[in-house]
Amino acid sequence: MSSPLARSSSTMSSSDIEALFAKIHKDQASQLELLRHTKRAMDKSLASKDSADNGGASLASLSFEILSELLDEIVLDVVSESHREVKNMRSIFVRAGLDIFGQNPQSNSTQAYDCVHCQRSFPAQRYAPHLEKCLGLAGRASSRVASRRMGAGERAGSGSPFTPVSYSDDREASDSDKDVVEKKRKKNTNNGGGYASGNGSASTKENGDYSTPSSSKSSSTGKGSKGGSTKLKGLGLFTPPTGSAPRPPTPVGEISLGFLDDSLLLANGRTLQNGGGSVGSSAPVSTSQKLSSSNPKRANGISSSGSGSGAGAGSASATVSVSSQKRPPGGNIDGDGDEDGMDILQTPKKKK
Amino acid sequence: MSTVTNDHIRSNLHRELVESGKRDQLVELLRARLIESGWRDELKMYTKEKIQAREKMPSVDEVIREVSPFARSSIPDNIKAELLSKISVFVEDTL
Repeated sequence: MSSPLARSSSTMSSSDIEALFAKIHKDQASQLELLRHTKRAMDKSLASKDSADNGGASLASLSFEILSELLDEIVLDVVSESHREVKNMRSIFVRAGLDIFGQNPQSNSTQAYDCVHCQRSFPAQRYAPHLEKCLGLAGRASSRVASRRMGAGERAGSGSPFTPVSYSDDREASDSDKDVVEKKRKKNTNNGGGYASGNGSASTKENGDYSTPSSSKSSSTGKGSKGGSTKLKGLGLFTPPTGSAPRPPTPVGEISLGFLDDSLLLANGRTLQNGGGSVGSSAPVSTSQKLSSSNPKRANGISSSGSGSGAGAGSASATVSVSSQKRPPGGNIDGDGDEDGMDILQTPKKKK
Repeated sequence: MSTVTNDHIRSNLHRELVESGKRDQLVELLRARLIESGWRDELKMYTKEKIQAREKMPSVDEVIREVSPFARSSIPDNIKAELLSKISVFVEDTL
């Protein structure tokens, strides 16, 4: 209890100092005790955490254990899945930016080529389609554009089949159809022409000279337009010139039969009414005499009056020529209204 | 003594967890959270890398043993905290 400190201080009384020191001592002792106690407790808890058997009884440790359990289940899922994947499809593992073979997906071998016509540069895949459009070989729009580009002055002289001169606007035909028709048309007229083969290649559109595809076809077109009337007249675009050898097939109708009957009547010099029966009998004879290109079928058509429209129309062309040549002025037919079978036939061409 | 009670406590708790269906709930929640955080994909890549690094095909157990430390440590903290709080709530209620 008596410390050298107490002896040195002479101002305070010894009892006070002793009390002070006693107090300090007590504090330290209690502190010590507290620390020891804590140490024990901590040791205890540490021991309990370490040992598996004891297991932490604390809430936190229990929760943590349960979480670990749940996690193990999920990890097992993931691992077994990836293990299976690797085992079955070795190296399915992909890195970012590569495809499943581990290669660079981009191909960098695209060469660019320059167009011979417009001198623009294009990658390989785009070159051919561009050239088509550039030369006007691809379609309607491109041919128009290309022909315009090549100059309207050329068009007047060439009359190229690629430029829409007369009928491409009317018809909605595709290129191939147009080419087929043109091919046929040209074949019709230019049998001996050297463009038969040229027509054959018309659909493929190959010419030695790319710069002027229109000019090479000019002559064939000139011929073709005239000959084309045979094919295209059926479409009603051309009016058939009268008197020319190839006759258009006029529409079947009673009108043509009216021609037929009138001409026959006039040629015979008698009316149908008067010689109704005789017409039937003599008609075949007279027609064969009068008409150069007679058709026995036609006579039958007449005798059967109104029902022979099919046969009658077939030779209507011949009849037309007859009527134009042989019809004398004034007719003998004074319609009495008593023409049972002839009504409809005579309506358009009734002559007084 | 304490071990017996401890085990007793644990088995009780576990049984409660399963029977109430709480365990399945928690597993699904954990799985969903881990997927949406991208943890699952990372783990998958990691395991595949580890498997392919080996010469011959390892067993599933070996792979689990190899990747578990990585798996546990790479869980995002928020998910860990969320799950822990849910579990402790349940444990408190049960005990």
